[in-house]
Amino acid sequence: MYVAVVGVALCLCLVAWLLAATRPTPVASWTGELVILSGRDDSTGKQRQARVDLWNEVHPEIPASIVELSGNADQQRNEMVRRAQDPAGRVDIYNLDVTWTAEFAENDYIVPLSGVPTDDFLSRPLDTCLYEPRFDGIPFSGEQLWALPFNTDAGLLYYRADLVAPPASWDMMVTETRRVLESPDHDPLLEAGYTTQLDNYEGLTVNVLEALRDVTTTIKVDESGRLPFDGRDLKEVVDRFRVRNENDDGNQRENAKVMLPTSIGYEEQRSTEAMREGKTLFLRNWPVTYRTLTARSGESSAAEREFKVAQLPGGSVLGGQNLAVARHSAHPEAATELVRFLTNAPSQRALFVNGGFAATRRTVYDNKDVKAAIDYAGELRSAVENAEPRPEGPCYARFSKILRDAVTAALRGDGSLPDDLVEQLDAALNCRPAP
Amino acid sequence: MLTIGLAYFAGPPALRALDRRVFGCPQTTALTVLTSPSGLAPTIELVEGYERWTASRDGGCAAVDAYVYATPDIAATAAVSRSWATEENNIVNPARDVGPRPDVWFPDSDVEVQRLEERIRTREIVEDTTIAVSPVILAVRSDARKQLPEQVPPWPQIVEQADAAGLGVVRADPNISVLANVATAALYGPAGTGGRAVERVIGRSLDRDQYPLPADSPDVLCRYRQLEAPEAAVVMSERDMVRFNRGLALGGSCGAADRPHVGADQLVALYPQDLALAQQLVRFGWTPEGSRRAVAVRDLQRWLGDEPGRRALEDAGLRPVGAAVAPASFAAAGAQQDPARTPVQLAPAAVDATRNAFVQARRTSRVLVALDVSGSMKEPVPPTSATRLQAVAEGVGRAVVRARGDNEVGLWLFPADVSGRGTRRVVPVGPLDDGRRGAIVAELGRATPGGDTPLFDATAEGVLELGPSNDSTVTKLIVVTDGEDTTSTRAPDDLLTVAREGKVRVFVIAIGGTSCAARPLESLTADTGGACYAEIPSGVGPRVTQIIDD
Repeated sequence: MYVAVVGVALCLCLVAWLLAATRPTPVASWTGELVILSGRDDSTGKQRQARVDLWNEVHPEIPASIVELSGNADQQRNEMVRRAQDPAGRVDIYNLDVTWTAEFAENDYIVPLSGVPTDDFLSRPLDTCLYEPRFDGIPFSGEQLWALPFNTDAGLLYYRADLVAPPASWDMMVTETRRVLESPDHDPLLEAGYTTQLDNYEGLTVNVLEALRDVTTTIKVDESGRLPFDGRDLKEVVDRFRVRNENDDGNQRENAKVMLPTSIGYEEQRSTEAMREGKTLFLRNWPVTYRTLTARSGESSAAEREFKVAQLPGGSVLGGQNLAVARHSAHPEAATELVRFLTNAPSQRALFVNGGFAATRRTVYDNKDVKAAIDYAGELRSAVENAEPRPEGPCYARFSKILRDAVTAALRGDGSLPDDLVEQLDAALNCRPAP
Repeated sequence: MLTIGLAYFAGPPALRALDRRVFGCPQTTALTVLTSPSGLAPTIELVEGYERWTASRDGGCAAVDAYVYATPDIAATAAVSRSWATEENNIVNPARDVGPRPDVWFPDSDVEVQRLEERIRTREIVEDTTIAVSPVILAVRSDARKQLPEQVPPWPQIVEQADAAGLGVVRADPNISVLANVATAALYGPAGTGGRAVERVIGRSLDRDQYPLPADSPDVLCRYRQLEAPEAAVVMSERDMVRFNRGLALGGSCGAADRPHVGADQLVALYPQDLALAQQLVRFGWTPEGSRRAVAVRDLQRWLGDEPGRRALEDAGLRPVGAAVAPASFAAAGAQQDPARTPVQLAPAAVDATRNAFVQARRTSRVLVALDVSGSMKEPVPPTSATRLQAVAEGVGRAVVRARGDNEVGLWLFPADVSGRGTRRVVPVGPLDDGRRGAIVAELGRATPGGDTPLFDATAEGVLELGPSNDSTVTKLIVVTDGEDTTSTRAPDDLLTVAREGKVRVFVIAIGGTSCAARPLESLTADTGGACYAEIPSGVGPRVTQIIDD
């Protein structure tokens, strides 16, 4: 009977799909107003707004405006989903975190883009714009382009060039830390070797996945959708990050010299401050941190330190944002054109040089003016090309929450993880119930 | 086909579970849940409990994906009054500055809702109902319980007795916390005349263990939890005490779960009066009736009234409306099994009257403002051409003019001159009369930026100048700076020693991108019961007013 039920359901869904595929799309219109829903723009001089202003000069018949959402990624996603589920939501373009593109495509919140040249985009960011929708977990319609890469991101390793060399591995970083901190005349401000973002938010997921890359070489799911790491790998990552508490023995507490204990409450800004104040030798952070770390106060100070940047020992996971056209847009053609405008080479160059948004096009990195203006551009491009995307899927948000809640409990507790954590993560990523 | 469909949906749960495991879960309904900062942890527990319950009905697949976040009731109400919409100029944008538009709201109380204009209230709020209550209590360590009488007297007397026993009493700020406001009305007595005596006891207790000022209820509990040997009795909700004893997350700056508190370490509840706060559930009209979100909100509300939901409320420390499910669990967590718990009828006018009475009764402030006038304060503040110093000086000047006249205020500038060292003591601390206001504004107008930043020296000397708080006056140092220390003779640890010993509350207002995480600002402010605020230059003035007056 069950087969019959499934068969009937499949037939019904096929009819529904055919109806959806043949339903009239909104009449294309080049008059009106375009609305871009995006997270808060904290770049110098609001560079995204500057590009939209330029669009508005050229296209006064259909000007665009950015409706800013919270700077908190979870709040952004929630509000975008809320508006996507509301046909009266009045959104034309979503600026999506790269991990949300699959969810928005799967749930029909955005439309595929066609006839858009993509040759010049870096392959890794472009891959995050491709997705093949599924029916009952089974891909069925071929991979399609759902967005264009607006800006990309890859984690970098910042280090104190006056004290250490860039390490090629985690073990070398530990060795370098011990060498410097065990020296009797080391800088008294130095408290530990490494700091990063271990507060319970998406940044923790990124850090765990990057460390897993270092432990297992890849975080790419296999063809059956299974994660490539096991509980021991996760435990190794937790042991790296966890600073032992008073209940652990003396040897275990030694980890406090490698990992700055307060990292457990850090997000991007606080970890940068710790590095800037000389508390650590190494910091994992995004490219925009370079400006903050290397900015000079203009006043004489003994605290001027030499910071340089290198790739993370195990490689990064990919960050960044993609622009997608909303399913309910009344102006899908104009919206697509605006997405193309904001991701074209001149826009990408301006956003990179003036705003620090890492460009998504090869030609921008090849440009000699860009190379002159951004001295870490080469390292950044290598890091992006070497980065791996986070596990893809319409239920990524649930996967991420389970992972970071479990790791947070382990970091704040005795270091243990649930025995079935990998099974829970596998199930969440594939939108299946917990085991 | 209908028969097949009915067989599937009404069939054995095992069939549904197998289906979900093989073919995956259907799309969830996104639900946005708003609460207050003090209610964040219990609300997350409730909503996650509801998600698990929906999953248990559908083969392990949750029906909703809820996002819970917190903002103060007053900020939420301001956004409600604008229908949570972005204005054309994008300056007023609740979705950016508060958070996503909620489908359901668990406020601290409905006082702020009552302040909304009636036409807005009826348009935006379709239901405002009580789902649970929590008595207002005085919590004491179980090993100190015997120092207080077995028969608990009314609020004013129990405070006197806790003070006489050497315990002291701490309470959140009635201007911030509705619970503290309700308790304060009871503490001052029916005639409202006992305020000064009560505030003397509370002020002394807050100073003794460097509780933060002004503090919301979670901040008080956070500090209590950080102390090695806390002594003070705490005015709090029974919900928070139960959560503290159970080791659940408390919210605020120490939001994480903790170990359970048992034995001598456990808090026990005293109930000086039948006084309880209602936990409201508010539904909004902008979630269209019949939509998946609206259906989910109603389902959540129904669940909270049924046994699984009532049990979840009790697990979160709340007393559900109607029959209790497991009253013994409260007794095990230091509460009475079945106390009187009549929810107080809150009216905005009564809340405001208590705030005014508190302002009259509390200690006045003796404040020194130490303003950074180093070279980096020449930086312009876009889009204007004004320098940071000009923008900040204007704000501080306005703050001093607005601050209440029963406070004392003074002004220092650092560095003293182009040498980049020392302080200029331009207006000594004294009563905030018109003459002193004028002198401070004039000195701010004359200040010019230049030189390095002797931040640590200026802060330490300011602490020594002010001296400790006493029963009638609380001393506060406000340091406004845009950068790191560059020329002090004192090391950070020396500054911390001076500040901790000085018994002066140190507040730092960091501008120009300076982070409150910067060493040693975090310790300096936290260890003295002060606070650090990262502000844009235009935000400095309101913050200074708040620190002086609170």
